[in-house]
Amino acid sequence: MTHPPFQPALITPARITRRRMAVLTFVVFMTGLASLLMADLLWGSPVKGWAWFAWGLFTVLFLLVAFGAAHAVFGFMARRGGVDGCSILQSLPDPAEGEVPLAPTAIVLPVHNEPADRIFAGIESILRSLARTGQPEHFHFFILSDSTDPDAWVEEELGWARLVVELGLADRLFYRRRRANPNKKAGNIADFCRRWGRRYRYMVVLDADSIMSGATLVQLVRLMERNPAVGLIQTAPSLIRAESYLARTLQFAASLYGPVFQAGLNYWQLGEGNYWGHNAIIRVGPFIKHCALPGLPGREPFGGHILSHDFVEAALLRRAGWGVWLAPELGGTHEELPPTLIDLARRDRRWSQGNLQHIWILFARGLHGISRVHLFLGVFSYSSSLLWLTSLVLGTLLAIGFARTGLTFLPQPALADAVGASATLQYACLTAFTFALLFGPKFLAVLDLRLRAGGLASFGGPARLWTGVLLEVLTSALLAPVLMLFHAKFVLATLFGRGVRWGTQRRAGCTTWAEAFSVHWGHTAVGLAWTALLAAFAPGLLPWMSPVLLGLVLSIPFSQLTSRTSLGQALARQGILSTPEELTPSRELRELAALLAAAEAAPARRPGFVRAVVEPRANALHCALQRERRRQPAATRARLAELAEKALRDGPAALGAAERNFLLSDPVAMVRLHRDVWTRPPGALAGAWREALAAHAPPPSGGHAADPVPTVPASAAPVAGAAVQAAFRASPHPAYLTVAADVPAQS
Amino acid sequence: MTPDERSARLEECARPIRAYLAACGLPPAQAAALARTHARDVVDRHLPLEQGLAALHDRLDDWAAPYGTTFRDESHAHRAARGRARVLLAGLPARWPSAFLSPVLPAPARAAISAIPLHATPDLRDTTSMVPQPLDLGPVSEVAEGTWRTYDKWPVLRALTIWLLFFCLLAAVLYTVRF
Repeated sequence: MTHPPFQPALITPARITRRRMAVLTFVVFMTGLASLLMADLLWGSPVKGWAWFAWGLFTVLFLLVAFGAAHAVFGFMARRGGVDGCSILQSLPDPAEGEVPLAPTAIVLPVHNEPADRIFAGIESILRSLARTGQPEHFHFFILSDSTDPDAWVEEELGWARLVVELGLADRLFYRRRRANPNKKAGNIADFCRRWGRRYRYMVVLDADSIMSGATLVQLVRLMERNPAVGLIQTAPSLIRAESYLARTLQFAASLYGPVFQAGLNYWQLGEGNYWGHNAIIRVGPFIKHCALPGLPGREPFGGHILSHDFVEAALLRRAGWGVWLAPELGGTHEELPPTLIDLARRDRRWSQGNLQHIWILFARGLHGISRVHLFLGVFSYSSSLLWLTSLVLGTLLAIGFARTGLTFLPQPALADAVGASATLQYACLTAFTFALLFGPKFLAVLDLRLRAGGLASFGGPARLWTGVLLEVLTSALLAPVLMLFHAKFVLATLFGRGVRWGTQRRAGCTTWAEAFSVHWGHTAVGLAWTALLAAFAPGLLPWMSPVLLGLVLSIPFSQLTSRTSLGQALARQGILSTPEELTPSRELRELAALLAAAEAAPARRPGFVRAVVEPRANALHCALQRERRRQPAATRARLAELAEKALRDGPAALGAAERNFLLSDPVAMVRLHRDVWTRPPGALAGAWREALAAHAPPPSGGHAADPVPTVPASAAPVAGAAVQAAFRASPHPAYLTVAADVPAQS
Repeated sequence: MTPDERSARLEECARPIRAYLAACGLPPAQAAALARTHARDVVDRHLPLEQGLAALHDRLDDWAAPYGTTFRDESHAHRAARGRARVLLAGLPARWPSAFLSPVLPAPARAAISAIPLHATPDLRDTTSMVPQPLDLGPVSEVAEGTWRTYDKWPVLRALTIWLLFFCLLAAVLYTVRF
C-alpha cells in the first residue's frame, strides 16, 4: 500500500511547532549545560567583569555550535526514518497515478564576465539532458548578461549564436545584455521579469557555474504545479569540478556532511525556508508582485541597494503568504566553488557585506518569525567570527592575568566536586563536550552513509572515506582561524563604511607565493605575536591555543599549497577526497566534462573585441544584435570616430574597457571599423590588427584560413547536437507559450 | 605596364580580397576566382589597389542587405550587417559557394538564411511592471537610520560619541582592576 502524497498546505501548525520546539530544546539543553560548566569554572575569577563578559561570549558561540549540531542530529533522525514525511518531494503522486502536467518555465542564467566556454558548455549539457526527458518544449533559456568586459560580451554573443545555430534553438535560447546594470544580479533578474516574466509561470534561476539535469527541472516544475501555494523551491546543489586541494576538501565535506545537515534544516524550517540565490525554481507572478527590492536607507555599504537579495526575496515571498521550501533529497543539481583560499575570502567579503545589510531588514514589520531567524543567522554567520576572536583575545588576557597573579584558573570548590571529580576533569569534560558537538555531526553523517546501502562505496570505500575525513578535519582546523581573521576584518570594514566592488568569481587558477604572502602576512604576524605573548606570559595556554595559532602561523604556505591543482589531482588519482559525483558522474556531468575538454583543446582565440572587429562573421553577428541609434548627437559621432581611429592606429589595448564597450555598442561604428581594418594599408594599422589579419591570410597552397566562428554545417546538424535538435524540433511550442501567463500586464 | 607588372599588381590587389573571402568561409578556389575578378577590374581601371576590397565590401553589403531588413528607419550599413550575419551564420559561402553574391539563391539556401535569428530576445509585447513595495523597516531601523543621518549631518556629534564610548571602556578597565 502506498502512502498518500504529502500536502504542505495541510501540515498543521501544531506539528510545525513541535518540530521547532524539539530543535530549540536540544539547543537550549546543550548550551545550558555547557554554559553552567563554564560559569562554574569562571566563578572564582578575580576579574569578575571580564570573566562574565567571556562567559557571555562563550554562551553565544556555543549556541551556534549547538544549533549546527542540532541540524545533524535531527537530520540524521529524519533520514533514518526513511525520507522525512514533511518533505516537499513527497508531495508528488505516484507516477502510476498519472504525471503532473508541466507549465511554461524560463531557465534564467545571470552572468557577469564569466568564461563563455563554461557558460555555454553548462547550457549545452542542460539542453541535452532536457531533450532526453522528452518534454523540452516547456522550457526557454535566457542568458541574462551583465558583463562589463568587452571581450566577455563578444564571446557570449558568439557562444549563444553557436548553440542557436548548431542546435536549432532560435526561439528557445535567448541572450540579453544590459548596457547599465543597476541593482546588479537582483536588478538583472527583475529586468527579465519586467520584459518577459509575464510569459512564464516559473523561472529556474541558475548561476553561470550551475548544472541541473533535465529530470530535476521537470520534477521541480511538477512540484510547483502540484503545490499552488508554494512560491519557491530551493534545491541543495552538490559541489562539482573541484580541482585544487582546498576546493576538493570543501567539495568532499559538502558531499559527505551536506545531506544530513540539509535534512535537519528542512526538519525545522519546512515551508518557511530560504533562498540561496540560484538552483531554485520560483513562481514568477508572486515574485514580480512582492519581490521587487526596495533600496535601504543610508549609504553604502550598509544602505543603498540590497546585495544579498536572495534571503530578502524569500522573506518577502513568505510575508505575502507563499511557501518557500528546501528540497534536500532532489539530486541532479550542482554548482562549483572557488578554487583557492583567497578566492573563498573574496566571495565571503561580498557575502559578509550583503548579510550585514540585513540588519536593516531584521526588524521590518510583517516578516515571518522564521524569515527573521534566517536573516539573523546570515548576519551572525560572519559577525560570529568577530565574537570568536574577541573571546580568544579575552581568554588570553585572562590566562595572562591568572599566570601573573599566581592564582589558579580552576575554582575551589567546583561543581565536579559534588560527584567526586576534580575541577580539572570538569574542564576536560567541557572541552570534550564542545568537541563532541563540533565533530559529532561529522560522525553522524558518516554513520548515516554507513547505514545506507552502498553508501561507503560511493565514496570509494571505508579506507578512502576515513582518510578523506581525517584530511578534511585537519584542513578545516587550519582553515578556521584564517577565515576567522578574514571575516572579522570584513565585518569591521563594513561597519566602518568600506564597501566592496562587484567582482567576478575566479573559478580556476592557483595562488602564487607572492600573492599568498601579500594577503596572509598579517595573519602570520598575528599568529607569531600571539604565540610569543603566550610563551612569555602564559605558557600553560599554549597547547590549548595551538590549533588556532598553527593555522595563523602557517597561513602563507597553507594558502599556497592548498591552492595547487597538482596536489588535488594526485589525491584524486588515489580516490581520496573523491565524491560520488566524481566517482560515478551523471551523464550531464560527463557531457559537461567532454564539452569543456573540447573547448580547452580548441586553438587559442583572440580577445573578443579583436574578433568582433576582424572576423567577418563575428562582426556581422555583433552588429546585427545591437540597436542602432539614428539620431546620434554630433559629439557622440565624433567621439566614436576618434576612438575608432585610436584603436586602428594604436591597437585595441590602447582603449580602456569602457571605450571598447562604447565602440561595441554602436553597430555602424563597428561596421566601419571592420571595413577599415581590412582595407587600410598594413602600415597604417597597429601590430595587433596585422597579427589578427595574418591569421586569416589563406596559405599559399590555397587552403582555408582558420575561423572558429560556427555556421550551420553542411550536414544540417552536427552529430553531437543532432539528438538535441531532433528532440526540440519534435516538440513544438505549446500554445501557452504564446499567450500571457498569470501575471498582470504593465499598467 | 608590362604583363609582369600587371600580374604583380593583380596579385597584390587580389591577396586581401582572397583573405577576406576565405575569412567569410568561401572555399579557396571560389575565393581565388572572385578575388581575381575584382582585382582585374581595379587594375584595368587604374584605380588604387585598396579599392578592390572596398568594392567587394560594397557589393557584399548591397547583396546581403535585403536578407537583413526587419526594422524601419535602419541605416543601410546596419541592415547590411544584419544580412551578412544571416548569410555568414547560415554558412552560405561554404555550403552554396556558387550562390555567394548571386542574385538568385537556391531554395535550401534561402531556408537556411531565414532560419538564422536576428533577435537574441523575444519581443516585448507582454511587459509587466515590477515596482518595489514599501518596506516598513520598523522602529529599530528607523531610530538607527535617524542616528545615522544625524551623524552624517553633525560629524562633531559622531566624534563625541566615539570619545564617550572610549571613556566608558577606560572606566570599565578601571572598575575591573580597582574594584
